[in-house]
Amino acid sequence: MLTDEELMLAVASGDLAALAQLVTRYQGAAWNAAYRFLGNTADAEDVAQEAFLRILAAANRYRPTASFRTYLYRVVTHLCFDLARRRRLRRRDQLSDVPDPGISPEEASVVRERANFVRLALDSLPEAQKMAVILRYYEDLSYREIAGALKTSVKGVERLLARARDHLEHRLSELSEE
Amino acid sequence: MRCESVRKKLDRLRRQELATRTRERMEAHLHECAECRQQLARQERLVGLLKSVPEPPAVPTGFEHRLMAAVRERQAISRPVPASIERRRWLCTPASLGRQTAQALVCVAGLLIGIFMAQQTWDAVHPVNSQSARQVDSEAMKELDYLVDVRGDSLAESYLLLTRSSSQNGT
Repeated sequence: MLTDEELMLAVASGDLAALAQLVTRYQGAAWNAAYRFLGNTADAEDVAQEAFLRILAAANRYRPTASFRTYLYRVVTHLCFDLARRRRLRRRDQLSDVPDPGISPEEASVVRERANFVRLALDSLPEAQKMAVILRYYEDLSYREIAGALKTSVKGVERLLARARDHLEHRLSELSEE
Repeated sequence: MRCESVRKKLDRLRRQELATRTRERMEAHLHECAECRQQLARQERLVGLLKSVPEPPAVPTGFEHRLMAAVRERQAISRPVPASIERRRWLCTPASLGRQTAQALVCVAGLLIGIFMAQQTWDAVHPVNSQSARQVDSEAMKELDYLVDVRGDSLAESYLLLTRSSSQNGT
């Protein structure tokens, strides 16, 4: 099986099948990060699609200095920031009303309310802190990978996450004490 | 190890991303420091809350198909003109240059013949109008000659002479 970097070299020479393989491998990553950041399916699909189109357009300039995954997250991050600045008022999709079969309706309501509270707290973060939290705690990236995606240093990521955690702890203190 | 540097790395300690030596030193510090232990517990609670947000919905059905269609569409738009066509477009051999010049000359000759024939047709259709126009023009020129030949220093004097001669002619 070809590595991501080998596939990118093939994409640079015009091999669309290689791009299709990369899409299969990473569409979930691009989609999840975009959805977590933007909060609605329409914008998330636009960003995930545009990310792969940009990667194709710049394939000739791609150099495997970082992993393809980091490169993809960098493109997705850039597009998310850009879209969020242009569409500040786009509302989030509602959380799913599909009940979890293991819990009662009352418990499901409490869980949903708590999740909404957490999402609001996340939305109140500055964009770089918010993306750092998403990449760290939902996408499980290392500090080095986050630094690559956000175009900053590992120290910069430490500072971003420390500030984000302070802010979230303060906002979610009621929930933390339950 | 100081509390400040330990707290910066708690997040990575939790995920076991630190080098063995650093991890051992941090664990030794945590064993001694209750405040840092509390900090670690708060971080774990916070991460638990963050994880309570449901997973995003699955990637929409047909996403990959739509994406690859968009890829092909953009490639079709931005595809460069093949080199062979580009070369042919700008190819100017002596033979093609002569052929193009001959075609241009034929066009110009046709245009001139057309204009000449249109003039002939106009004169044939409007012979009287053309002659009377020429007569009117010669009479107007005589009037102008009269004005030009008048000696005087000003236009006003010329005008007076003209009106006087006109009234004499009338009487």
